[in-house]
Amino acid sequence: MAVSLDELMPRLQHQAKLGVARTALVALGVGFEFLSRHSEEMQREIADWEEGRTLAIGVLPRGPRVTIRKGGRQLEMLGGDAYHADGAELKVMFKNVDAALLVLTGRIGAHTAFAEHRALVHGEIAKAMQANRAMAIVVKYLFPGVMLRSITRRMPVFSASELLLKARLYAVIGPFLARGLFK
Amino acid sequence: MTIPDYFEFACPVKIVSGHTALPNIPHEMGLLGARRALVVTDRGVEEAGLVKLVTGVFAGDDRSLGGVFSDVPPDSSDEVAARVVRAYREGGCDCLLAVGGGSVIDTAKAANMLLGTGAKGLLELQGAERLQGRMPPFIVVPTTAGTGSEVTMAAVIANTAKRTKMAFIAYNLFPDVAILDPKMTLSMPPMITAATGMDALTHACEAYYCLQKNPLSDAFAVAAIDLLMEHLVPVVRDGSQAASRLAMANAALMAGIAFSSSLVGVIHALAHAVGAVAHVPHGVANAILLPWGMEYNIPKRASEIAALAPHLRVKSLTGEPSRDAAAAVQAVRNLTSSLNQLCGLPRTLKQAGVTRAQLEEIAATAIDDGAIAMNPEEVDFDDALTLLIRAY
Ligand SMILES: NC(=O)c1ccc[n+]([C@@H]2O[C@H](COP(=O)([O-])OP(=O)(O)OC[C@H]3O[C@@H](n4cnc5c(N)ncnc54)[C@H](O)[C@@H]3O)[C@@H](O)[C@H]2O)c1
Ligand SMILES: [Fe+2]
Repeated sequence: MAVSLDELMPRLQHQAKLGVARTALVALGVGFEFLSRHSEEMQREIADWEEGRTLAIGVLPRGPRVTIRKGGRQLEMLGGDAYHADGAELKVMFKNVDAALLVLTGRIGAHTAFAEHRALVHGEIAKAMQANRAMAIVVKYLFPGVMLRSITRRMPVFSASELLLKARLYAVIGPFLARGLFK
Repeated sequence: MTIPDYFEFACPVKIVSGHTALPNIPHEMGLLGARRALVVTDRGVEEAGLVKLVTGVFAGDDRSLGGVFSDVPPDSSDEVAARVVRAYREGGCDCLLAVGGGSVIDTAKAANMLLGTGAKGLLELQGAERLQGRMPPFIVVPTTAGTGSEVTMAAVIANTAKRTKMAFIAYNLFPDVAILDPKMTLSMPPMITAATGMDALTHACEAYYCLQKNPLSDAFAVAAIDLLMEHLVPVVRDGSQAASRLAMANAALMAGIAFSSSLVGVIHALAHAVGAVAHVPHGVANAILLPWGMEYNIPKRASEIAALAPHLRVKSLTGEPSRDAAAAVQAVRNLTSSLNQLCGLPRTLKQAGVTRAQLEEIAATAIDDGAIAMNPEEVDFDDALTLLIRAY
C-alpha cells in the first residue's frame, strides 16, 4: 500500500528525533563514565552509591535508553539496550521523545523536567535525587555556558582544571558519539 | 501573569463539604459501586469518639462496614499497610474509608495501591507516575485540617526492613471522595490545630512560588491563605466554633489542591528530614521553617512572595518586590509568634527538641528529598545546613 507524504513526514521526523535522543543519551553516558574517573566533584557525589547500583535514563514507549552502573569507585555505561535498562533499579523514563529532547538538548533543566511531570521515576525518589545531582555535574561539563545559564538554578563556576576537563570531555566524546550513532 | 510554558493540573476528587456531610458516606459509596467499607484510623481519632460518628451513619443502610482498623501509628509503614490489606480482605470489603489525619490517609493510600495493583510489596511501586490502572473505591474523611492528603497524588510511608521513607506520586493515588465535616475536627487540641494549620499555610505559600506554579494552583493557594489568615488564630484560641473548623478544613483542602499540582520546595524537604531524623511532627517543622524558606527564595521569587503579602495581611505595601516579600516573611513570623503564645507551638528547631548534632544528618537527608528539585533556588548540602542553623 502506498504511503502518502503526509503520513511519511511525521514518521521520519519522529525517527530523526529518536536519533538525536539516542546520540544525546550516549553523550550523557560517556559523560557519567568520564567524569567518574576524572572529576573529584563527581567522585564525591557517587562515593556513597552502593556497588552495582544501576540507573537507566530513556524514552517511552520504546525509545533509546542508556544504563549506567556503579562498579568499583566509578561509573560505567552498560549500553543502550532495553535488556540492561529494564533491569535497572532506578529508571527515569521520559514520557515521549519531545519531552526527552527538551532536556537532552539543553532547553530545560532536569529539575524543571521533574516539576513539569515530563518523566516517570521507577524506584526510590532519594536515589533519583542523587542521580539528578550527578546528572547536573555531567550537564555542567556537557553544555556550553550560555545554555547552562538558562537551565541551571545556580550558574556553575569552573576552576581552571575543571575547564581543562571540559575540553578533554569534548575531545573524547566525539568518537563515542560516532560509535553510538552507528551501533 | 505569565502562563508557564507547560503545566499539568488534576483534582479528580469529589468534595462533599458541610455540617451534615458525614451522613453522605453510604450514598457516595453507592455511587462508586461499593457496598462494604473498611475504616482505617488511629487510636487518637478513635479515642476522640470520631469513629463512632462514622459508624453511626451506616445505621439502617444497605451499605455496611467490614471492619475498623485503628492501629495506624504516627510513622506508619509498609507493614501497617499490609495489615490494612489483610483486614480489608478478611472483612470482605470493596472500599477503603480513611478517617484521620495525614498519617492515616497516607497509610490508606498505600493499602489502596497494594489492593489496586496486586503488588507483593510497596518497594516495587516506589516512584513518580509509574502506577497503572484504577485503584479500589477510596473515601477520605480528614480529621485534621492540614495535610490536604485527601486531595493530593502523594503518599509517604516508611519501609520497616530498609528503615527508609518510600515516596509515591501518581495520578491514580487521588482518593475518589473527600468528606469535610466540621464535627470531625472539633476535637483537635489547640497544638495539633496550630501545627496542622501551619502545614496547610506552608503548602499554599510554597505552591505559590515553587517551580510548577500555574494559574490554577495560584487560585487555590491564594484562597487557602485568605481563609487560613482569617480562621487559624481564632480556631486555636477557641476550637469549638464549627464554622471556623469548616473554613479551616476547606483551606487545608484548597492548599492541598494547590501543592498537589505545583508541588512544594525546600521547606517541605527540610521538614520531611526533620521529621525523619528528629521525629518532629510535620506541621511543627513546617511552622518553624516556613519564614526561613520563604526568605531564602526571595532573590529568585521576590515578586511572587511579595504578591502573597496582602493575603498574609501586610497592611502597608511599598510596591518594591523584595521589601514587600520581606514584609510577607515578617507576617508569617508574627503569626507563628501569636501561635506560640496561644498554644506553645515551637518557633525554633531547638524548642522542638532537635539537637545541634542532628543538623548535618537532617541536611543530608533533605537534599535527597524530591521536594528539593521543585524549589526555585538551588539548595545544596551547605545551603540546607545554613537554613537549619538559622532555624535552630
Ligand atoms: N500525602 C500528602 O499529600 C501529605 C501532605 C502533607 C503531610 N503528609 C503526611 O501527613 C502526616 C501528618 O499528618 P497530620 O499532620 O494530619 O497528623 P497525624 O495524622 O499524624 O495526626 C496527629 C495526631 O493527631 C490526632 N488526631 C487527628 N485528628 C484528631 C482529632 N480530630 N481530634 C483529636 N486528635 C486527633 C491523631 O490521633 C494523632 O495522634 C505526616 O506523616 C506527613 O508526612 C502527607
Ligand atoms: Fe505538608
